[in-house]
Amino acid sequence: MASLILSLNLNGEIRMTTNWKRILFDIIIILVTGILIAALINGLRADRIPIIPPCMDKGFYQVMKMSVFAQGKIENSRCFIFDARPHELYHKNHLPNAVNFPVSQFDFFYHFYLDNAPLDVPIFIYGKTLSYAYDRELAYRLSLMGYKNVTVIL
Amino acid sequence: MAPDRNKTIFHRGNIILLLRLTLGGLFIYASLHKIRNTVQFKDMISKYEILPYWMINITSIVLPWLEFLIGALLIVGIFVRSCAIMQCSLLITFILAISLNIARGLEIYCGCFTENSIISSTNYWHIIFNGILLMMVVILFVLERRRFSHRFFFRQAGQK
Repeated sequence: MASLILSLNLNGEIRMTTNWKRILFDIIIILVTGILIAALINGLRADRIPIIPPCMDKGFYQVMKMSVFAQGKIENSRCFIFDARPHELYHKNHLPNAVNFPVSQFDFFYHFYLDNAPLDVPIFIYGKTLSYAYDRELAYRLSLMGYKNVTVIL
Repeated sequence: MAPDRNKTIFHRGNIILLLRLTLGGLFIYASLHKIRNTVQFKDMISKYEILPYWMINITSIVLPWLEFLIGALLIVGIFVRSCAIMQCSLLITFILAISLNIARGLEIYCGCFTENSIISSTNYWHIIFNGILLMMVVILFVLERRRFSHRFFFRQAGQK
């Protein structure tokens, strides 16, 4: 069995060997212990962070592919198309007839666009980056406000 | 009479102890801010635009405690080589992440230490600092060949 000691081989040379299996085993122990401690402490905190963000639960909104959305004939006066990304990204490029509704300014834009809107109005939302799911976050928050016809465009 | 090697400050055991305490202490210090402000750390990770959004929350929960545990194990002297490898991986990841964002031209708080810390910046000095830590970790990995490092003081335990 390989061991973490100096070993003398048949040619009389002294070599150092490393027990990589033991090191890997120790790394796994450290990882598992760290994950368990982190999960336990996070569960006990008042400001705990959900392991899976609630906005990723598709039960709160529908999902539609962009190709399907592009083929559909949407009458703009009967629906809202929101770009959930920050202002700067919206101005770089956005879908035709889409209006900017940054999630970071939810309260302001909610009253601006949807103050008198019926709860069954169709709402289409798009806009995400690699690390930010702006569209899902906005869809989740609108669904909590009572809007049932919310669709995220992928 | 031959000099007592254990009393030499540059003895291998002393160097290992110094490296363990320095690296372990730094990692614990770096993890404390992230543990206290997990939500801010989560937002900071998101700004890097490296991880997919479904991994952000898990990373922000686990990473600070992993750093804390590695630092504590290094100080105590348990699983030293394994901790060194994990520290090496983390430091390489941090260096790559900061380099990527410098290349993108993003000016964001790196999140490694407290926001007011003198070494909290995303410029090249932080990459150099992490590089120095990386070299120290490699030296520790090469020098320490035992699984458990029993050297807590500058002399062997049991000696006067």
